[in-house]
Amino acid sequence: MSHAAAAAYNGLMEDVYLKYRICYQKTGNLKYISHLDMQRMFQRALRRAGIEIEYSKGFNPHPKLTYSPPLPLFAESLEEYIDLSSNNDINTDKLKKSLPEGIAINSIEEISESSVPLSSLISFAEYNISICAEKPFELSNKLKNIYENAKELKITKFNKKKIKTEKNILPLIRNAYFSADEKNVFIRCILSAKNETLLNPFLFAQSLFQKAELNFQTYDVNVLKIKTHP
Amino acid sequence: MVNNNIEHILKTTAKPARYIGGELNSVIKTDCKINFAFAFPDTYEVGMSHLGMKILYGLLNSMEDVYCQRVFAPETDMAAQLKRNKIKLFSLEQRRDLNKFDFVGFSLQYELCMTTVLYMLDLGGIPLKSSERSESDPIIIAGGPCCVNPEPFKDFFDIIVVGEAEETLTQLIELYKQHPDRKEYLNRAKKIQGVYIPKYYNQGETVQRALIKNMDTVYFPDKVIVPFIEPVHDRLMLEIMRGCPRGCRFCQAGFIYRPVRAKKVNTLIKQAEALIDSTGYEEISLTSLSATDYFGLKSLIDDIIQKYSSQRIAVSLPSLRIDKSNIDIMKQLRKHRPGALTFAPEAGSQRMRDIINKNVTEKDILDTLAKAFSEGFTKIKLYFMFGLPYETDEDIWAIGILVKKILDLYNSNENKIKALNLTVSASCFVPKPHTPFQFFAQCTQEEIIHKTQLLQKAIPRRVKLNYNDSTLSALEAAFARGDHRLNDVILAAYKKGCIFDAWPEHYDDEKWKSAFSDCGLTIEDFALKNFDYEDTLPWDFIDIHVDKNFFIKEAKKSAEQKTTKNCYESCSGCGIQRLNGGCVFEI
Repeated sequence: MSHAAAAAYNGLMEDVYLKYRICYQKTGNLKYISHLDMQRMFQRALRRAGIEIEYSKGFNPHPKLTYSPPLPLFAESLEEYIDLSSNNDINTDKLKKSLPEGIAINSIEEISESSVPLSSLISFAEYNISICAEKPFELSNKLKNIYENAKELKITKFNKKKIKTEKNILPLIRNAYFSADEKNVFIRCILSAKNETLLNPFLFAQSLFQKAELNFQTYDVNVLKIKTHP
Repeated sequence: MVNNNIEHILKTTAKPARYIGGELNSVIKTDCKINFAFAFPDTYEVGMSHLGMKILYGLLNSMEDVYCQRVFAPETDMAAQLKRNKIKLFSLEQRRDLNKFDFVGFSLQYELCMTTVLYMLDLGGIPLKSSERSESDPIIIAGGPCCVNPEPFKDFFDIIVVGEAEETLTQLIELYKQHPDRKEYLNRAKKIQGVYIPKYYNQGETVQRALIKNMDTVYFPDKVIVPFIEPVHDRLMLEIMRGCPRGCRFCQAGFIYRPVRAKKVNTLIKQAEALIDSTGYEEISLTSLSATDYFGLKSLIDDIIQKYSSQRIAVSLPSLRIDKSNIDIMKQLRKHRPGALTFAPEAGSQRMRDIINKNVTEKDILDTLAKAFSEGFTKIKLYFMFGLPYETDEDIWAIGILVKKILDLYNSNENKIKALNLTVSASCFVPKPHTPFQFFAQCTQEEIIHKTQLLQKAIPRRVKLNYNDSTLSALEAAFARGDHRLNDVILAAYKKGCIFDAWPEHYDDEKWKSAFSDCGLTIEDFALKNFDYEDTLPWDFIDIHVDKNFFIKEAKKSAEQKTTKNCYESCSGCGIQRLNGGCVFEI
């Protein structure tokens, strides 16, 4: 007997929700799909898979789903998470079939109500940034020098009042390693992934290019999130 | 044939998800003999909201040896990138160049899409005019409601399908399998019902509108594409009925989709189940020109709500006919989602509502709203028209008086919790072909401005008032009732840079005016044209199965403010009853 069925059998019937943590990959063309669009896509995929998720109470109920910190547009990832509560068992095969090409399930595990929430579980994320360049070795060294000698790394942002602000992102970088092959520069880095201090890997790369006085927009840049760190 | 180097373009384009395809339920096929591009002359978000596209995409792909792929109009930033990188406009499914298809079928949903059609043909590397195309170019098809007057754009298409395309399109594909030679094919295609081949048309011939006889057996998709990004209408659409029994005299859809043909409740329940299960959508809209005139509406809604309440599927209706019994239906739907109620009184005075044959009294309107208010609805949208035939300033004032009565009605409700959220949308009347009002001119720009100013004074300040650009309405009117002279105007306007004309931010009045004057014409020549009943109209050769004499009779009745009963009550003898020996309704 399944967990949910067992819970129901034990006389608890309705409102017995079990918590699940789904770990998945987002690759290929899905890099063009924003975090918000992904959320809508997942709700529909879960419904197609026959998974009835818990909804918030109140006047305008919404599904109780928790996502790992948003992945920037154009980045691919090997490790993304969703936490959900459902009152029926998750049929993994059915869920896999309900997902579009580009989403692959790594694992689905049942977690306890008291388990550490995603927001506390993930503090850093490790990325591989690859930049297509004409002289990759030269560029790699240049960026490496800038990074290692930087006392601060600034990005410009617009705040809620649309006023330009500058922010030093250096404290949000745990480490960064630079390498190259015949075609690409690679930056392997671990960046803050806490919701409030989430550092976008594209912005990190852009800040280095800015310091090197190079036009970042003209380069083809690919980002792959490899894993998360506590 | 297959482009792979668009990756770097996508990263520098706004909303790249519009161009990648790969959505759930999009169709992947290999090595099909016939490749059909379904082209929608607007953005992805608009095109993906369109039910007709979903039906025909599913239908064509259900045929063996046929691969139907989608193409939408790229935004200008994407188009510039395509041109710079010498990439042709491509389909979403396979990234196949538009000029490598056997057929490109455009869906013409509104009059102002024609320059966008040329823009897509141009980006796809296809000659713009039918006469310039050769054996190696795709066959360009037009379909959709605009085709009931195809003269203004006939130069650009090889085939124009008039009417409902499900059967006609299948026949066109089957014929192509037998006769791929362009000239022979087009000559034979002429014989299929609903097909107009401008190149091989002989004076005096009539083109009969194609229509579906049995809505229960006609193809309807069991799954539809679920877009990643939000289209304009982000919900399932289940067509419950085709046609409308009402006969409002301004409404083209009310005549060109006659007769009323309803699906059986059982058919709809099966279709709803298949769609919900295959898409996971959270909302299903029961679409029809007049959903509340569907005989099985209540039992259909009950059934869907009961089956899917645990999955929180909401059921919605596009708009409501003014009738207090319809409030009960909305109450039932609201259980799952609070929403606005939308009504279309269309006119403020009873005189005007009789002229347009709305068949709704002020009492009906106030009774319906009183019921809605007592049930706790606080968000109401009302649609009106201005610039109608025989309209006076008093008729415009009457809209304001009616709105004030509605506000008073709400304020007299003692149990009200919050202020009424009332929106009034007013649009300028555009005379359309194949309607009783086809003979009438649109009012002048000065009149439109006068009427909108009057409306602003008439409507209380606390009510939100929306109305559209008057110059756009004039161009729409010109194309709706235009003739073959407009082909050159469209081409001239496109060459001057006009595209996406229905989008106010793209619409360029000056360019259009100069395109008309380059051809020795003005917009007013068409928009302000009054036809006599005896005149030969540019669309007289299109037989939609409703008689011109009926339209004349209705136009005369409107002058006398006489109304005509709806099809359910009694047959008005419009002509459609001659098909299949009379109309049969389940009421």
